[in-house]
Amino acid sequence: MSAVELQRCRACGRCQSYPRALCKHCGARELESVEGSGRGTVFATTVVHRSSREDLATPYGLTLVRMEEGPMLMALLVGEAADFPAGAEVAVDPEATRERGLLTVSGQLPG
Amino acid sequence: VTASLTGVAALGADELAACSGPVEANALAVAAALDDAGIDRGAVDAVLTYDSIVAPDIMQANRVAEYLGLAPSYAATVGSGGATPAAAVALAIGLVEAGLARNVVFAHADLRAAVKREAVGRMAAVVGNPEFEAPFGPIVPTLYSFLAQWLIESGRATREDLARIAVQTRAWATLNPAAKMRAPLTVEEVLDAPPVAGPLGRYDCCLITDFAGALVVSGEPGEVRILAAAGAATHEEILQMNADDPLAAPTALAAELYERAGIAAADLDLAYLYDSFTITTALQLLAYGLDRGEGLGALLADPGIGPGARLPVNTHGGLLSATTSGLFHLVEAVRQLRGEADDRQVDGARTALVTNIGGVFSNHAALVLGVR
Repeated sequence: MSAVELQRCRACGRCQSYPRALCKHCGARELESVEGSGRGTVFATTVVHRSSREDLATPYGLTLVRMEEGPMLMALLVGEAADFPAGAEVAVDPEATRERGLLTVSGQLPG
Repeated sequence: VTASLTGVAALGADELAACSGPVEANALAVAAALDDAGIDRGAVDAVLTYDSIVAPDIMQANRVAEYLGLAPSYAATVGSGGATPAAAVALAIGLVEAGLARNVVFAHADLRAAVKREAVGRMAAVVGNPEFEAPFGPIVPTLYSFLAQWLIESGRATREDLARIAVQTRAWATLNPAAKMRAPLTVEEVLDAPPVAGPLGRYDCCLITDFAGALVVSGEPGEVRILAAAGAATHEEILQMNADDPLAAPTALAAELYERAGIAAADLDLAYLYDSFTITTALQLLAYGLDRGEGLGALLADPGIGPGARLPVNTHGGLLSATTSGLFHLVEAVRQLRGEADDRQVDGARTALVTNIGGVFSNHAALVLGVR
């Protein structure tokens, strides 16, 4: 279980997130919910010093991950932001994600 | 384009303080812009406004027209975030060129400073997807900081480049009595300021001020002509952006805009770039080719884009140091092109680029203005 849910178009085969009533790539209406691999590459990582959520202690790291299926997702970082540069290959932690209710990423995949 | 910007106005702090709310502030700004244009109230065929964040109203433009006693053919409240003023000018051009209106006014006012926290909270909620972004606690600077980190890691900007943008924008604001922040700023002060998100600190973020301004787009010949308009609305939420190249859309827009205006980037005398954050300016300096291919480091070396620059940018102090709305980029461009910018006047300026941006580098609206 990767904990990453995506939507795949039965017509063109491409994926999207957030879920829609039609495919943003081709407009087809035949869509299915699929479990993503959870693997992707970092677009960029930032450190949040001011948050709109009072229950998340600052500073904390946030990263944008381009999932290998195409869509981009935001994930909470476990660890140092400097360890997650653009292009780093990462995987979402299924267990930690379920515990926190938010996607988390805790390390680069072994090269 | 056969339309001109024939009138502009910005309310001063005292007038704003006396306003009962955004509708009245918009109305007074429209009245001042009509005076500036030298046209009669009865000559207004369309009233466009951008709704208040603090006091939303589904028919704000109608209320503004009603307050003024106008009876235009069209009144519409338009909204595409920070892109709205320049996008509204493009809509106004359409009304004029279609023969549906001769004089279109656009106004934007808000009284945000008093309700800063609440307003910021609402704006943050608007830009983040409620399921896939908002739960992670981002505010607008957080989202832009991803782009800042991306540009820095790609080797096309440094943290110091962003700081120089804040410093040079502030240098213009010191010459503008209407600017909110007028004390000179140093690169060290920007770098040492409290961090907000990633590379962005307090001085990398725009101000939240009260403001009211208006402009008139007219089919009548005017001194300041609109040479071209172009737009790009590719997405809203950051997760939906083109992650292969976030600069692709504005770069293509810039080429289209320059072609329509019959100019090259090097022909511009002035640039008014929407500066919600220093990174927003940096990304556009590259996308619009204002670095002439030499990179931000070379462009931003003293005086960079500040007073004395080869290409002055945001001579009023921008969103970073003067006033919140991108409407004032347009107001200042018109004043400069007419030679009415007092201590900050750029001599001989004839052509100006103006951009406004909504969302997280999502919705781009750009104009080229010129005088003969």
